Amino acid sequence: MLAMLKRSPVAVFLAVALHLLIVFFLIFGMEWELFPQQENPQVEVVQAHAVDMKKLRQVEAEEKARAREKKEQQAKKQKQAEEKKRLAALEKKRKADAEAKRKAVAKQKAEAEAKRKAEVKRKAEAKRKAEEKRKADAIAKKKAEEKRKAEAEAKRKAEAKRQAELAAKREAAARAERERALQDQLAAEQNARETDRYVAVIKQQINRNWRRTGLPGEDQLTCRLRVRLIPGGEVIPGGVSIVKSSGNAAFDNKVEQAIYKASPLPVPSGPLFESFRNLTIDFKPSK
Amino acid sequence: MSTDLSITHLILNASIVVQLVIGLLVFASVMSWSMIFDRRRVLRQAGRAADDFENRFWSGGDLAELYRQLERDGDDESGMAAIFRAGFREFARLRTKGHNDPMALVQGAQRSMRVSLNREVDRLENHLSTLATVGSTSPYVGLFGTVWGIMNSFTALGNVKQATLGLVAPGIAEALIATAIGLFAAIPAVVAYNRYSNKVERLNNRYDDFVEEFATILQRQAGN
Repeated sequence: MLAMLKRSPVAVFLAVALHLLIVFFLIFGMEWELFPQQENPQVEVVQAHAVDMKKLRQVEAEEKARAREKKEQQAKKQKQAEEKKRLAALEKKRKADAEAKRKAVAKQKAEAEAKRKAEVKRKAEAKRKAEEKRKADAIAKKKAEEKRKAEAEAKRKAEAKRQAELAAKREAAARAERERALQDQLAAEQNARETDRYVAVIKQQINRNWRRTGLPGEDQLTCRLRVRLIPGGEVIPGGVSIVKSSGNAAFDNKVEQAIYKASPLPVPSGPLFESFRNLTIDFKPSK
Repeated sequence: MSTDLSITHLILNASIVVQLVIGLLVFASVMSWSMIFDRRRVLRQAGRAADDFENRFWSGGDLAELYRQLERDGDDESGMAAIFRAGFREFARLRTKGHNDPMALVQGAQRSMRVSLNREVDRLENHLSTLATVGSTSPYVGLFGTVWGIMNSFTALGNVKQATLGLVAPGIAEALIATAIGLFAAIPAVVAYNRYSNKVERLNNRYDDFVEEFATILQRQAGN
């Protein structure tokens, strides 16, 4: 900076001047409104006169007398003012008392009025409440009645439903029974048919094992035999007995032997076999 | 309250750090403006001198005559004239010493002119870096003052229960003055730096061209 100042003082001077100018404008620009008030203070001008001493004293005396007078007057005024004040205070107090009394009466009245109003209100309230209660009771009663009715209805409905269910059950049971009977019947028929079929097959097998004796009129002979079987169709040894003879002992014997030979007989397995345990066969030779 | 918020009041009531920052920035601003005025004068002079010299140089007169004239004028010559003198002096000296190789003569003169050119450009660029520094750093310095002031303001705010605008505003206003002054110092500096560095660049180019042209002329003379 110093070297600068030495080398080109003009430039430094210009720069400083520029900044001072800016600062000046900033300060006075910002505080423009504030300055006039500060720059023109009210100057009080003192006015002087040359005066005579005597005259001055006279003037002083007069001044004093005037001052005294003024003071007296002031005292008087003050007294009067005090009196006035006192009177005013009295008056005020009286007024205030009257006001208070009036207010008290008004208050009493207001209270009485309020009480009366409150009473009326209370009565009205009580009446309203009673009315409301009555209404509410009526409503409740109605509701209870309705409820009772609804319950009865529900009970009735439940009963009906129960009856209907019972009836349906019974009906279903009966139908099942019928069905079962029918089934049984059908089964029995089926069994019978099945048994007949087996019996026919058994007869055929016996027939195949039977040797003709060559006796005349042999084909007209018939005999009834009882055969005892075990499951699987095996003929129990000694289980063949003649129930009704054909009248020809040789024929009967031959049939007996044929049955033993034919063992095992074709029998059904399972429950159907039961009817084959003691099988009665009418034997008649086939051609 | 309005009197309390005027700039003078704010600066006078600011904390010592902020005041220091403001002082520093004002100093930087004064310095940068001084340099601006100085560079303005120097560069204008240099431009004018270059114009004058080119006129004289290309007017067709004898170069030796021109040299003698310049010598007579005194030795505070600068710019193109200084380059010309350096080149011509070297050329004449080499010639009187008996060097007859035109290439060596011209090269010697050119070297001497380069040195002179560098010196001239250096003289023109003087202080420009300071301008750049002021332009780039003073906003940060101002910002530092502002941050400091606001920090103080908030510290004061932390001590009271009820924060009011009246409590914060003066502190922040006073702090912001630092940034304002920083920007005030920086903006002209940056503008001037760009402008003057461009001007120096152009003068440099002119000098360069002159060196080349003069070297060509010298080569022609050396060949004769």
